[in-house]
Order: sequence, then C-alpha cells, then structure tokens
Amino acid sequence: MRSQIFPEWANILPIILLISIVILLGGVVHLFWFWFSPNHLNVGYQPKQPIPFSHAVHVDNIGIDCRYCHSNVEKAAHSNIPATETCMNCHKQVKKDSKHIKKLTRHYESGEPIEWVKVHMLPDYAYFNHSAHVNVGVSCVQCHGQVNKMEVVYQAKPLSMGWCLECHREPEKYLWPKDKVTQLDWRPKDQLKLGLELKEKYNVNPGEACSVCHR
Amino acid sequence: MSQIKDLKPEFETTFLSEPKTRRNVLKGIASGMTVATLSGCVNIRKPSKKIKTYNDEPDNLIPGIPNYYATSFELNGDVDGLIVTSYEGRPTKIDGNPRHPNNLGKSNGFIQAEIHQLYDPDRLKTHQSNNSVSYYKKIIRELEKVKKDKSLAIVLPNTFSLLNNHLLKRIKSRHKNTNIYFIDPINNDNQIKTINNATGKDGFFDYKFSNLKLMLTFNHDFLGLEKSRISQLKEYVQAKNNFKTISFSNSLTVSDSKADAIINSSIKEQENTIYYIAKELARKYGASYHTDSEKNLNFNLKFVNVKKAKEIIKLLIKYRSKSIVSAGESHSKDIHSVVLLINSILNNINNTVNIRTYSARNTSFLTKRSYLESIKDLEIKITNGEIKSVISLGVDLTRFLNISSKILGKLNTFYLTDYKNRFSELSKYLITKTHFLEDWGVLVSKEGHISIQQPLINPLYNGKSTTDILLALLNEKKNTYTYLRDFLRRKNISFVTLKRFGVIPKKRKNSKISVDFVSFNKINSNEDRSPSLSITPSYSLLDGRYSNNSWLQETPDAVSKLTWGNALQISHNFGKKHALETGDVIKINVNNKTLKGPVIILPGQNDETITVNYGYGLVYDATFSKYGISTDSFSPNLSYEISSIEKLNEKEMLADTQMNHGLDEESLAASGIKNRISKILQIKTEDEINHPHHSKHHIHSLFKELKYDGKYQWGMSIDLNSCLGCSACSVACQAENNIPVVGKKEVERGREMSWLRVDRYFIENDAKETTINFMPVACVHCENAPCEQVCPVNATVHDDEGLNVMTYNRCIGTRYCANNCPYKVRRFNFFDWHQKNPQSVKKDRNHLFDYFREPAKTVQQQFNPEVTIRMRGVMEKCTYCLQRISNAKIKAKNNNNEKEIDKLQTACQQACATDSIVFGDISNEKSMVSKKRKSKRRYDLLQTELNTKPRTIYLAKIKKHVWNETKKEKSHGHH
Repeated sequence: MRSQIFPEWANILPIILLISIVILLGGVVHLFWFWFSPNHLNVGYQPKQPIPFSHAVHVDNIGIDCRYCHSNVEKAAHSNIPATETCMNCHKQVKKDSKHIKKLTRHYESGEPIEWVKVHMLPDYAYFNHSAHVNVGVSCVQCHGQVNKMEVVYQAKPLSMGWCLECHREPEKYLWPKDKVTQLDWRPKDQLKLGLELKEKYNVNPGEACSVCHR
Repeated sequence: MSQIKDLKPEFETTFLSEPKTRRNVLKGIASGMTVATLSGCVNIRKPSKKIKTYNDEPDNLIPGIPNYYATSFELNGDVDGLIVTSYEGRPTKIDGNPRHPNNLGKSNGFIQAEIHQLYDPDRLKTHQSNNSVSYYKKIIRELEKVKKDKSLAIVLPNTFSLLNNHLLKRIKSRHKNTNIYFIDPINNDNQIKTINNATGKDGFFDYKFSNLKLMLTFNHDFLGLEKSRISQLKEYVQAKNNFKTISFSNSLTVSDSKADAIINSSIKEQENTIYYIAKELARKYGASYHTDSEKNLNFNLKFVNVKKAKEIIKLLIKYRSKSIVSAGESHSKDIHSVVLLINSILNNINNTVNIRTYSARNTSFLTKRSYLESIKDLEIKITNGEIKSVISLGVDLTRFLNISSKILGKLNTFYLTDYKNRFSELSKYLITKTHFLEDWGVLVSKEGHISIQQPLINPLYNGKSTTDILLALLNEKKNTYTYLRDFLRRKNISFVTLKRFGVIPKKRKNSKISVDFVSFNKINSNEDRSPSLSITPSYSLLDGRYSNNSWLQETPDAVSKLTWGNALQISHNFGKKHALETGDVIKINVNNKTLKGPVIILPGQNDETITVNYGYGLVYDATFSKYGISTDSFSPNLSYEISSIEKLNEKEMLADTQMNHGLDEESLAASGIKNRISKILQIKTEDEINHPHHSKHHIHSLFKELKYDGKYQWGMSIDLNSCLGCSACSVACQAENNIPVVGKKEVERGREMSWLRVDRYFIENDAKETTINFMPVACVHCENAPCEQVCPVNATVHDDEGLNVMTYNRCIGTRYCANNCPYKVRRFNFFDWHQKNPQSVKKDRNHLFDYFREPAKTVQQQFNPEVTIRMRGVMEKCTYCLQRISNAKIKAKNNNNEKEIDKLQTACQQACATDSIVFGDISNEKSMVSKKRKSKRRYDLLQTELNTKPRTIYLAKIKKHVWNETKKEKSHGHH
C-alpha cells in the first residue's frame, strides 16, 4: 500500500500559508504606510553642517530673535539663511580663536560661500510662502519644532501634504498671536479659544484647493 | 610603492571582478535593491542639497522676490521702454515700461522673445581672429591699424542710440574719409525720402485718429510691422468705431483684420488707383497749389476698379480733412508722394495727418543714403577696391550684397556678431556682440523721448557692444559706462532720473512741418499682367535676426499660421491655374535668380501676386536657423516680376497650426456642432448689437453645478474688436509659464504646447470680400468644465475662486480631458520637451530614475521660478497666471492692501498693446473685467451649445458697411 503523498504536518500548511500571506501583505502596507512616509524618511533628518552652528546656544543662551538672522521671513516666500556678514557682525569680536570661527572668517575674507546643508526641503511643485504664514501668527515652532533647543538642527515635522492640510483645515489649533511667533517656548493657556479669536482677527482663511500651494 | 603593489585584494572575488554573466548581473541588481530598501530604513535623503549663502548681503535684494529694472530697446524704427524682471541677478522676463510714451507698458512678440535671445546657447562665445580663439585687445590692436584708412567702411544697422550717433559723428569729424553705411533691410526709406522731398525736412507721419472718419490704406501694415510706435495701436482701436477703414492689399496682413472693406488688388492696380484718385481729386479741388507734376498723373483704367474708386472718392470728398490716406513701404517713392498729394488736396495735413520732425538729437542715418542706395554704393566700392577693410557692427553683408564671397573674403573684416554665419566665415576678426541686456546705452526715439539702456547681467560671453567698438575707434580709454556718464553730464541729462524711471519723456511734441511742393514721376502703366513677387518682413522673425529664436520660430505667423518656415503664398485661383496645392514645391525665376519652396494657398491673396516672408532660410550657423525659403538676395519692400514658374514633383509638409486646434467648421462638425462658425466668431453690426435678438433658453446641467464662494472670482474678457492677432500674448505666455517648444515635426503632428493660441478665420463679408479675423483662445476656465468630468484621477479640479486648476502630480496622462475640451486648449507633454530640445545638454549627474538630458545652463536661467516645469506625460493648460494671482493675494494680505489685487495682470494682458485682454475679479463690481462683462457685445463661447459657463468671455467684433450696394441690400433684407 502506498503511503499518503503528503505527510501529516501538511495539514497545517494552508494555515501557515494564509498567515504568512497576511503578514506579507501587512508588511507591504507597513512598508509604504510607515517606512516610505515622510514621517519615517524625513523626520529626524539631521545632516552634519560645515560649521557646527548651535541654535541652542544662540537662541536659548544668548536670546537672539529668529528674525535677526532669518531677516526676510516676514517679507518673502523664502526664509533666508543669513549671509556670512551677519555672523561676522558679532564674531569679529566674539570667540575669534575658535577653530570654527576661524573657518568662518576664512570664508568671509575669501568670499567663498559656506555650503550649508539644506534640512527642510519641499518638492519644487509646492510653493510654500513663509511670509504668508508668519504674518498671520503661525509660529516657527509649528513647522520647525523647538529649534531653540537643537544643538544641530534636524527636521522635526514630516512636512508632508497631509500634515500641511491638518492646519489648513483647522488653523485655530495652531494660531498664536503675531508677536509670539518667534518665541518658541511660549505656549497658550487655551489654544482653541485663542485660535478661534485670532482666526477672526487676522482673517485667516487658508484654502484647501490645489491652487493654494501648487502652481 | 612596492608594498602597495604587493597587496592582494582582501576578497578574492568581488562583484566587479566577476565575469558579467546573466546570473551575476541579476545578483548585483538584487543586492542593489536590498541596499536600496535598507537605506530607506534610516533617514537618508537623496540628493542632499546645499545652500550657498551670500558673503555680503546685497542691497535691495531679497532672495525669491524679483527686482525690476528699467531699460530700453530699439527695434524696427521705434524705441520702447522696458521693465525687466530679475531674480537674484538673472533676468527672466521683459515687459514694457508704463512710463515710456511710445509703448505705455505694452510690448510685442519680439520684445518678449528677446529674453530667450539673451540666453541662446548658440551665441558666439569667443572672440576670434583667423578662425582661432583670440583676445579682444589683440583684435583692437589690429583695428588701430586700419582706423584712419580711406578704404575703411563702417557698416551698421539704423540706430536710435544717442550715444552711438554721437560717436559716429565724432568719428566722421576725426577721420573725414571713413565711409559709414547704415544697412537695415526693414526701414521706411520711401516715407522718409518723400517727406524730405516735399518739405525739405526729415519727418514722420503721426496719425491722429480722434476726429477721423475714413482711413484709406494701400498695402500699409500700419498696425503690424509698419507701425510707428506701439502706443499708436491703442489710439487706433479706441477711435475705431468712429471711422471706417478701407484697405487695398495684395496679401492680407494684421492691419487688414481691422479693415471694414478690403479690396484685393496687386501693387500695379493699387498704383493706378492711387493715381486715378489723385487725378480726380486734383480735377475737383485743383492741385497746382500743392504740386508741379500734375501732368504726371497717368493711369491705365484697366487696372482701376472704377466703381469702387468712385465711391471712395465720394467718401473722401464727404470726409474732407477728416480722412487719412496712407501707403506702405512696398510702394515706391512716387506713390508715397502722390498719397501725400492726396492728403494735401484733402486738407488732411495737420488735421489728421501730422508730419513731425525727427527729434534733432539723433538719426544720423536719415540724411544719408537709403538702404538700396547704400547697398549699391557699397557693392561698387568693394568690387573696385576702394574699400579694403570693413567694420561690420552686426550686419551680415553676404545677405544683402550681391558680391561673390571670394571678393568679400579678401576684405580685412572686423565683424561684431552674436552668431556665426556665412559672413563670419569670411571675416578675419570676430568680436562677440553683447545682447542689449548686457551693456549700457542711451536711446532717443524719433519723438524725442530719451531712455536708458541699462544692463541687467554681465556679458555672458565676454561680449562687446557697438559702443565699445566705436569708443575703441576713437582711442577713448574710458569704458562705456564712464563715457556714458560724462556724455549725459555734458548734455544735461540726469542719469539718476533716467536710471530710476528708465525714460525722460519729451513733454512737447516735435514741431509740425507743412508740405511745400510734391513732385513725382509717371508710373509704368503698360498692360503687362505678369505675376509679381512681393517680399514682406516676417511677423515672427522680422528680418531674420530672430532666426535662431525657437520661441518665435514656433509662434505661428499671424496670417499664414505657419511655424518653422515660410512658404510662397498664392491665391486659390493662382493655384488652380498652375495646378498647385498647398505643399507643392515650385521653382520661380525672378531677376535671373531662383526661389524654390512649397506654396500655401491663402484666401485674400492677390491672384497676380506671390508673397513670401523675409528672414527665413539659413541666416545663422545655429541650431534652429535653417527652415524656410531664403529670400536673402531680394530686398523687402520691392516688387519683382516673375519670369517663370515651374512646378516640381515634390511635396513639403508645412507646419500649419490653424488646423491643429482651430474651432473651425470641420472640427466642430466632428463634435456635433454644425454651421456654427458665425457663433464662434461673432461679427455684428452696431445695429445688431443695440437690438439683440433675445432668445434665452435655459439649459440645465445634468451635473451638480459647483458653488464658487472664494473671496475673489477670477475672469477674463477678450475684445475681438480690438484684437490685432499679433501673438504678443502668446509669446508673453511662453516666457512667463516656461512653455517648451516642440519643433517642426511635432507641430506637424499637432503637438505644439502654446497655451494661448490665436485662431485665424477667413470670412467672406457682405460685400463678398475676404476678411481676416483673429481670435485668441486659451483655457476659458468653464464653471461646468467638461474636462473635469472625465478625469479619472481628479487631476483637474476647480478651486473656490473659479479657476480650473491642473494638478500635474496627479495626472496620469489619459488625455481624456483634452479630448473632451470643446475649446481645444489643453496641451499634452508627449515627451519631456525640454530634454528633447536639440539645444539641451547631457546632465552632469544621473540617477537611476532621473532624466538624462537637461536644458542648457543658460536656458535654465530664463525659467520663471514661480512656475513648475512640467514633466513628460502630463497635461497642461492656461492657469490664468496662477503664480501672479497667488503672489498678489499674499501681498494684499501681508500689506493689508487690496490695491495689489487691482494691479494684478496676467502675462498676456500685460503684453497686449490694445488692452484687448482684461483680467480681474468679476465679483468686484468696480473691476475693469466686470464692466466688460456688462458689455452688449459680450458672448460666451459655446455657452448656448454646451452650457460650460466659461469665465473668459468674448466681446464681438463690429462690422461696418462701406459700399452703397451692401448697405442697400442689408437695409432691404431687414424690412
């Protein structure tokens, strides 16, 4: 008599197969949903900069306002990385002997621009405008996180379209008074109440149509 | 060293050292993919981007916010003030300067395309002597040797440059023997000479349209290439409803689109008609006061349409001192004189036709030889050896002179040029020429407005300007800028004012001059009716200087709608007679020279005239400069007799755009709309407009109609009564919106990308005359948009302000939307056109999924950073200049100033010389566009058929009856 073609353990094979397919599918979904999302790929991106500039020192310890260096943030779409000249305003005198400041001075004197590594990056077809946000009370902290605590700047928020829309749909959850936008440690007592008030006051009506950000 | 040599690889085999078998390659790919997946697990962003900061912050420059600089530019006998947009030091767009009275902020296609000209990668990049790279200083040393020679000729185009004219005068006074030639094939020599002969002064016609009742033109493209200045176009269309225009033409032009009656006639017929009219008027009013050559008014009645001529004479008498008679440059000096006589007899001079003196400050070319005389003189002097060295400041002598290249090659030539061409091959020394955005200058228009030419960018290729060369000839050690400052100081012209405003307008108009005596000769009135060849400047390439400008090459000619080349324009009857169809290649013999090329049958073309556009063929040794029929050995503005016509057994494809996307009968019939051309392009009499037939039937949409509740509601109106079909809007759109060109082959396939096309319709009017009509069509932003209903991926949707927006990233390229668009305004990127462009270059760095080619580095600099560059496989179309809307909205909100919204203009509107295009917020009652929407002439294109509710509305063209016969017929028909 011939024995069974399949051994007995083959009985559970369909179940194993089924489970592994589910796991595999789940894995694929997870791959795209989590691993390929900006939340995973971009948040925490912390490149090494040519000069280890510390925001923590300059903002928290010394108390320089964001707009001292990023001077165009209220005027232009693009918030500028300061010119070397701006650094030299202080560093002509301060910490002249540090090797990093020496490097900075070399750059300044030779005219060779410093190549900072871009941290926050949007795709070319998204036309974000800093001035339109800062001028209606969207604080720096909402998109850039607590830069005042960062030794080396990293990306704190995903900057994905879904994340943008969270605020465009319910701006009241994020609005601060205009004079508080660069005070990264400030927190409102009742955000929702304040937000609704400010939404009215600043006439905030962010669109959700494609044409708001894409051209 | 030996140690290193002795080292063995750590691993015996690596992937790279393995033989490249199929298995190994697959292995490599697999491992590559694994690495790629793993790299996704950590935040590695590729490619990491660098930001280079300024060392010292430049003044008045905020990155991302454009700066605007005033400059000016001369073209075609006119000086226009310009405002140039510059992003971080790179100019990206040129528009008119509102302060300059000659163009009042308006521009044309040439001005718009000049920015492309600046960044053309085919420009000459190095100075050369004897075909090898050289230094400017070396060439100047050679120049020093010849500058005092008797046998030196300086050749340059007509110029309105105050500085250059001053320098030329200085050169002439220092070296009396230097020959200076002004060679410009497109000119108004006949007009200038006529005025000079009749008045003793140099002057130009300045038409006054405000009291006008009748305008009679003979082959005069006074709204096209023969206009005196851009701002005159608006003066014309604003007054147009008060007067009638009768045009005699042998080939339809842009100006004929505004004529109320068009009489198709050859040059010869026109000449005889002019003499006939003059004689009749002289008989009635007497001409002895105005002329001594009345006896020369001969004509042959066989060439005169006596019935029409008599009616015209009646009208001229009726509207005495309220009419304008004018002739174009294709007519001879005698004809211009007789036209001037007619105007004198009719008492038009100083009423409607002002003759004003040229501004005294410039125009040294005026009192000199005419173009044809210059050529003849130069030809003789070069052949008999009187001229041995030539300094050509941008003039390609091989195109104009009838001299063998052997003789030209023997000359000691210094050639200032921006491209290589046939003449550069023959020249000993080549100097790269600056673009006008690269160097200083000061211009003065014939009306006397002084404007500055301010550089926007350092010379890209180390170029030198005409001024630089002239200064070198004078041994001036100063550079152009310092010399200019000194010059202005001496002339008491404020440099600061010029720099800030771009122009110092002359407040008082130049003085009028009166006609003393007109004299003229008899015309040839024999009965020879052999066909003639007429050469006209091209609406796209002018005299060929834009030959390598791909934007202009792809801009359809206003009348023939041909791109990438010209053709011999013939009439229907002519085609029948010689058994020719559009595309057949013929060979014609003229003056012992031959012209070979395809024919195109055009309505409105005279049966005895073949017209061909000037400036095509091989003008430069460059990528795009090779299309069409070369007419270089002929002179525009002259008529030639054709001795023989031979049909060849060849056919050539013509890249005609009218049939690609036109809303003509055929394509409409395909979509179920028949006999609707009269609805598409509405032409009504004033009577019909004031008493419209109200047949309002409500159409209900099957779709749920969208609500539009945004703060602003955008809309546009296009006035067909004032549109001239000049295509300035189309080129402006191209410059603003980074629209690529596709090339001749692809245009033949109907794949041109222009967002805004100008349709052309030939329509027979009530008097059985062929009229030409233009209609600009871009996306009309339907409220019930048919494109949105068929998009499977929601890539085209509406926003709450009424914009039909296109989301490129969602588009998967089904092209359903384009098929369902009744206006045929959607354009599909069949390829990445920027990559496919023959001027593109290989990309430095390739990624697996990246593109392999990119536009040349200079071309990239022109791109508008505010507009996305579209990739292959996506649909695109007019966005109503969304980038401008967004920026205006943000500005208005930031500054809390609604005026920013009122100032908002689309690129096409900004360029439109006649203000035919008006854009704005239709929810604001006070806006211009709202007022236009209330016009009685308004009609919504295809609204009654398809209920699309377009946001762009059209204002109907007004027609007027000129001839008694048609007037009567019409009035009978009504009652």
